[in-house]
Order: sequence, then C-alpha cells, then structure tokens
Amino acid sequence: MKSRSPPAWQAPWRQVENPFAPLAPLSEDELAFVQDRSLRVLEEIGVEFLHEGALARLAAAGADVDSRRVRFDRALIAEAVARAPASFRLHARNPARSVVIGGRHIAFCPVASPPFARGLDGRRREGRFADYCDFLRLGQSLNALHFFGGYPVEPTDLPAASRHLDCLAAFVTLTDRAWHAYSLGAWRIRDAIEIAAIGRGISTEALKAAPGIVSVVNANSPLRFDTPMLDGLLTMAEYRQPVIVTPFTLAGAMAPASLAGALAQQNAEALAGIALVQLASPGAPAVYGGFTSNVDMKSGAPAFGTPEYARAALAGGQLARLNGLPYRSSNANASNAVDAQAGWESAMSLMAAVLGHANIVLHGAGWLEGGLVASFEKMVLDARVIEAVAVMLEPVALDGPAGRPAEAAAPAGAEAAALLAAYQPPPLDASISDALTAFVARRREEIARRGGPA
Amino acid sequence: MAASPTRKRRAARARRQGPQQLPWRRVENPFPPLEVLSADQLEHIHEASLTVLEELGMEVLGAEARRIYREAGARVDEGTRRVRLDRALVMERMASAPSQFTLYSRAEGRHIALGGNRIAMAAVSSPPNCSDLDGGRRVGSFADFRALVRVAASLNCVHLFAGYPVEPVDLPVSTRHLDCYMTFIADSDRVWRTYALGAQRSRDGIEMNRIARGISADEMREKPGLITLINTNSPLRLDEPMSQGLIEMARAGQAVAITPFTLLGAMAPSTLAGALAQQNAEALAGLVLVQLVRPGNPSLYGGFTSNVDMKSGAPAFGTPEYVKATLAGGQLARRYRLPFRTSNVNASNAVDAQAAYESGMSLWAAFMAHGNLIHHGAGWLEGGLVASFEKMIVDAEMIQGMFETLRPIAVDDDEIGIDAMAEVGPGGHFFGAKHTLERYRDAFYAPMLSDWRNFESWTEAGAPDAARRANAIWKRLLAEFEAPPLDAAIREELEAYVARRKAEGGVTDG
Repeated sequence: MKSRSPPAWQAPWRQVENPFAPLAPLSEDELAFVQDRSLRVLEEIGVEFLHEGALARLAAAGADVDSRRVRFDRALIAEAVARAPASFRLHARNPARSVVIGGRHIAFCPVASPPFARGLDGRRREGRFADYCDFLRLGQSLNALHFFGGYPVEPTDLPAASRHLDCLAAFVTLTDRAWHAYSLGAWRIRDAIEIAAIGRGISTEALKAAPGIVSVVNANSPLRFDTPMLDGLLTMAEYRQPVIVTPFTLAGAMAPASLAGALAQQNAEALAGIALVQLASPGAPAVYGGFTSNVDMKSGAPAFGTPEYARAALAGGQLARLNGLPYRSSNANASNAVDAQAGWESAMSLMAAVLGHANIVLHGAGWLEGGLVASFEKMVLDARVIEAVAVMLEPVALDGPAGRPAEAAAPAGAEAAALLAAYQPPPLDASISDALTAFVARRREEIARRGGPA
Repeated sequence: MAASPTRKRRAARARRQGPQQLPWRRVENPFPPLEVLSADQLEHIHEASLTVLEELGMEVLGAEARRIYREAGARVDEGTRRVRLDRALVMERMASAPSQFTLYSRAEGRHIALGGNRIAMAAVSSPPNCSDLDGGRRVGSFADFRALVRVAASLNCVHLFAGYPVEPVDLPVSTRHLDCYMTFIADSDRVWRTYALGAQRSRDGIEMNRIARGISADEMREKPGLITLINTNSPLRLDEPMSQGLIEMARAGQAVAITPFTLLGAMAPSTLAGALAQQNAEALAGLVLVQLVRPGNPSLYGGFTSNVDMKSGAPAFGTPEYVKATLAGGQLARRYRLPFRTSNVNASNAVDAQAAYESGMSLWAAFMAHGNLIHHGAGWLEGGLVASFEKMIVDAEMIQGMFETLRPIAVDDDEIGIDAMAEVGPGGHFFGAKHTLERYRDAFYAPMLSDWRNFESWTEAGAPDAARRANAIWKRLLAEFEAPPLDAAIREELEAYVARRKAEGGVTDG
C-alpha cells in the first residue's frame, strides 16, 4: 500500500504576493508610444463587434459605429477603462480559497481547454468526462493552484449543448475553489451564474457583490469580437463577474510580424473589450489578458516560451498597469512530450509571467503541445515549480530558517497517481448538493426538449 | 520556382555552419537586478561577516598565505593557523579590487569583459562523469574531455571554459593539466581556466597561456587571459593548494574568483542570514588575500549557497532557497563593486523536463542577480556529477533564448505597422501582408532545438524528444568541428613546453 501522505514539497494552500519590482522591457517613452498607437488603431481602424446589443451599447456611449465597425475616441476609452477596479476579490465556495486578483497578488490556475488528455499511461487520447473529473481532483489536491481557469480538458464524450452543466457542477462537487465559465452564449453564462450561486448558498443578486466566476473572452484577432463571446461578456458584466479580455495576437499571423506591432494590437483589442464591459456595467471587475506570441514563419506553427513570448509577457504587464488593470498571463509551451523542451519553454513563460507581475497565471499547470493536450504528469511537475516560485517570492527572514530541507521528489507521474488515489472530495452541504442536482436535471431536460440553447 | 543564386548560397552556408544558432556576441543585461535583501538586511549581513572575520577568523592552512596576511597587519595565530582580520583592514584592501576587467583570449574576437551589466557564459566544469544517449553514463576520459571541448567551442553562446568540462580520469594526475590546457588552446579560441591546485599547475597554465598568445610575462600581467576559481573549504577554512594557486595567479595578474561552498545546515548555519554572513566572510578573506598579493588584481565574488537534500545530505539545486541566496549574493558582490559569479544548476538525473525546468529557474536567477560569470552554463547534470552532451545543447538553446530575451523591443511606427493592421482589417490574417513579407525572415528567434511540428508530423518522424534531437545536434557539431587556426611556431613551442614538463614529471607540489 502506497503512502497517502501529501508530497513533502507541498506547502499549505496560500496566495503569495510578489515582492520584486516588475521587469519592464519597455522604457516609459516606449510604453507611452505603444499605448498611443493602440489608441490610434481604435480611433482610425476600429474593431468589429459581431453583436447587435454590444453595438447599441457602444453607439449609446458615443462610439462611432459604422455597420459592425466601431471606432473609439481615446477619451471614451480612457474614461471607460478607468472605471474598472485595479483589484478585486474572487470568492470560492470555501471562503478560505478565495483569492485577490490585482496588485502584487498572484493566482495560478490549472491548464484550460485542451481537447486531448495525456493519461497516466502516457497515451494521448480525446478528453473524456472521466479525465475531466480526474484533472479536477488532481487540481484540488495541489495547493499551488488557486482556482480553475477553465475545463482542464474538454470532455468530448458529453453532448456539447449540456456539457457545461456537468462540468460546472463538478467544479462545485469535486473542488472548493473558484472557477471559470466559457463565454459561449449568454445562456451558458446564466447557467454558470445559477450554479455558482447555488454552490455558495447565496442569491444571484448577492453573487453580484461577491464575484465567484471568471470568463476569458478572446478577441478574434485581428480586431474582431465574435457573437458568442460578446454574449458571454455582456452577461458576465450584467452579473458583475470578472471578464478576462485576452486578444489572441500571434505575431505574423493574427497580428503584425513584430513584437511592438503585436503588442499595440493586443492593447487596442484588450482596451476595446474592457471598455465595453465598463460601458455595460460600470465598475464591474475586468482583467487585461496578454497572450502575444509569434508563429514560426516557416510553418505557421505557434511558438510558446520563446524570447518573443517572454518579452511580450513582460511588456503586457506594463500595458496592463499603465491602464490600471489586473493582468493575466500564462505558462505555455509547444512541446509534444513532457521533455526538456516542455521544461525550458515553461520556465521561460512562467518566469516572464511572475516577473512581469501577472496577477493570474492561466494554464499554470498541465499544458502541453501549445494547449492541445492536458497532462497529469506535467500538472504535477508544474505545480512543484510553482510552489518553488511561491517560496522564492516569500520575504527573506534573516533569522528564521532559510527554508525547508529539500527532498528528492517522486516521479511526477507516480505522484499524480498517488494524489488521485488519496483524493477526498471537499465537504459540501447536503442541501447545496441536492439543489445543484435538481438544477442540473431541470436544465438538462430543458435543453434536451428544445434541442439546444434555451 | 527555381532557387535564386542568393538562396543557393545561403543553403550552402547553412550546410557548412551546422545547426542554426545565434552568432557569438557580448551580452549586456538591460534590467535592474532583483533584490531580495533590504538595504538594512544587506548591511546586517555585511557587518556580521566582518565580525566573523574579526572574532572567529579563517583557518588558513598555507604558511605563505598566513605570512602575507600577517605582514599586512592581520592577527595570525600560528598554533591554530587562525587568521583574524580587522574590519578596517578588510575594507581598505577591498577598495583596490577592480569593478570590471577584461580577460583576453588568443583570438581577437573572443575576449570577454566581466563586471557591470555584462554576462559571460561558461561551459560546465569539473564533473567526474559524463554521459550521452549512445554511450551512457561513464567516468570521464580524455577522449570525452576533447569531445566536450569541441562541442562547447562550436556553440557561439559559450564564452569561456571555466574548468574542465569533464575530469579526464584516464590521464595521470601529475601531467593531466598539461594535456587539458593544450586542448583548450588548440581546440578552442576561448578564455580558459587553470585549477588552483598548488603553485606548479598555476604556473604551467600561466606559461602556456602566455605562449599561446605570443606575449611577454609583463604583457600577460597587463592583459590577463586566465581565470581560476577558488573554493573555500567551508566553514571558514582555506586549504594550502588553493591558497598557493591563488597567490601564483594573483602574482601573475590573472583573475581569481572566490566561491565559498556554503550549504545551509551542513557547512553553514541553517538560517539564510547565517549562511550568507559566512559566505561573505569567506569570500572577503580570499578577496583580501588576492588584493594583498597584488593590489588591483582582477577578482570575482562567487556565491554558491544552497540547501541540502534531507535524505541524502547531497546539495539541492535550483531550489527557491538557492534562488534567494543567488539574488542576495549578487547584492553582496555589488556592495563591494565586484563582478559576480553564479551558476546554472539542476539536480536531475536525466536530460528531462525537470533538468530543463530547474536550469531555467537557475538561469533566470543568475540573470536577475546580475551574474557576470555564469559558471556551469552548459552541460551540467546530476548536481554536477555528470557532464551531459545532450544537456549542453539543451542549455545552449536556453542561453540563446535568455540572451534574446534581454534584447530591447524595437518600438517605432515601422515596427508597429498600423498600415498593415488597416490593410489586413478585422478578421483577416497577416501572412501575406507587405509588413510581414518585409521582415518574416528574421523577425523572430529561430530555435536550434525546439520542435514546433504538430503532434502528427512529430510522431511520423519517430517522436524524437528534446534529448534525442540534442543528440543529433552535438554529433553534427562534433563531426563538423574545425579547430581555430593556431600559428605553427606557437604550436611547436607549446608542444615542446608540454613535452619538457612531462619529462620533468609534471606536478611535484601536490
């Protein structure tokens, strides 16, 4: 019988603050220049919003709306973005697992959204709900991880129309952390709002004052937001849940083939999305997302953990702080295996996120293959490094012990298996569990009856 | 489309030049250093270490070193061999240490500047074993030594040899250094290191370096070409071979790095304050000796404080404690305006994700601590017990990536390309944009080792992991290796020197 004791490297769950000054590759003048040019992009080229409701809001606020193309006056952007809080609390159903997003705080998340899983047997397969639940259990067992920034793997064996009900309910039953809902239409977000409120035993009205779910809204770069994402963004804003606006600016493909160009476009798109949140729901929490990297100019393949990626992650933090917003970055790599490439590309991404003062590190643990694969082994490996980063960020107490004695860790795959074997679900009130089951059953039936979105 | 003459030329050049890598260049760090200690904490450690030197002192096993300390006014107890240094003496002598200097190579383009915000990357040093995927793990031989020197010398991001990339255990100890130094000179044009193991080894190194550069002993003193790394025998002891090597090197004007080996809870107290104070005391004692031998001699402050594995007692590397001690070490070095030596370490037993992840963390710490000489930069594995051919390539990829990360972001209207965004418009793509075509060739870092093929193509190619791909790269570098030119007369003189010294029996002083 294997020992069920937690791994020696694992410290109690805690959120650390970054004591270092952020690394800043752009001078103040260069930063101001990039900001100025992104505002010019918004004034002169504009952004497409494929959503009537969003267009109406923006027109009402005084933006120049020409068909689906919206051009923003820089004063309008400045005024709207200034309404976003610099920092906010994201509430988990277990109050001890709530996190602060902003300032010097960092929250790390497990990988989100890969269609494939690499199992403990090393095989790569399409994600299934059983894998999904195991990733939730493993994430819950890793104290280095703070909340779930999406489905750690897509459960492709569940029907797409009701998948979100099973997945979101599992966040509540298998974990006690905060979580993410996908902005794929307003109805899915509304279901998520209900499930979050049920999970915490509060009303949806109370949820507005104490947000508990996040949603990443990706710009459809270049310079476009699509309908389902905007539907989600507006619903999240209505319920005052934080939206993480993240342009997908791969330099050379969806953005100019230069770092400065991709950053200027990223900034334009992020500010446009966040301005919409603020115009729809002034003061609602919003996060500036950076995901600028480059493509391999020979093959068009996205590259992660490269020098360009690292510099963009650092500069993205500068742009977020310039605009007074919390910042989201990632722990990304493009390797096909849990090998040295995965290790160094992740180290580049992770250190750039941390030293760039990211407040949320999405895809913090478990990501492989440029986000196509979630790996249990990599999740444990990443969590160990994140734990080391957390200790690194703790202040030096000269007279206390310098740290814990090190201990050679077990192979990451074996440790993942042991953590899953030792997993216990966090306590959940029976009335909450019943209410959740009833809600999911009702909504599943409604969706089945209508054959799709309700 | 037929290949243009330009393209054909480029392809031919690419074939000759081996794997794609960035050119050799000097690297400067544009970022301010990260600091883990407050100004008060830094002064506290400084003062505590001076108290250690005043009250406890260092045990100095070399009689000549004790004599030099005594003549400078240190309190020396010949019975206990304890040397106690007053604060004023320490600070007065430290003032003559230069804050930056250049080490001169036998080739004009390969000099390295140390200090300020400059970074020099060294190959792995001193492991007793080496490994590669074909030959496995084995005790180091001279053949392995030569192969590692040739691979490292083929990597543009490796600036110097700060030690033997593997210990050639099959060579006799008394003459090993002669063969190794000859290889450094003949197979590379980089700056190299002598081991401070007694006076004779140091003298041989100095003489061979002088001959290789075709200069006089006076010129050699003016323009140092060698470095040695002194480890104090922590806690608080300097052994005789090390102090003799130090004295020889300083007399000849060559650079000396002093690196205490202060493992928390083993050779040093278990508090960071205690370990750093001890590290600092030992480093200052050595650095003062260098300045007493030859005021103004180039030297470096070395940090190697880490924690130990609680089960085996072995040193742990790439840990958060190591990172903090590294950042603090950089602060202490800057406190005395000295160049800082740190390392690229990891504790993995294989060229795997752990090795690269830990090395990645160590490298970031070394860069953010403003390490000037990054020791063990390429090839270190198993906490320094193994030099790995594949890891050397993995490290080179990481080092290149770090060097590129330090490059400023070009910010102007040409780069930003608002016209391109207008041309492409919402929902389009930039693949064919004029702005893209103008710069796609060298817009982004092109990796030597990273493989960005999709899973299907990668699997069809046999699913080679990074270690397997690194294996192919070092073999290609080795196969295509060409020794840098060396004047025939100089080679002859060196060979004669080595032959004479071997005939004399090599080293007889230890």
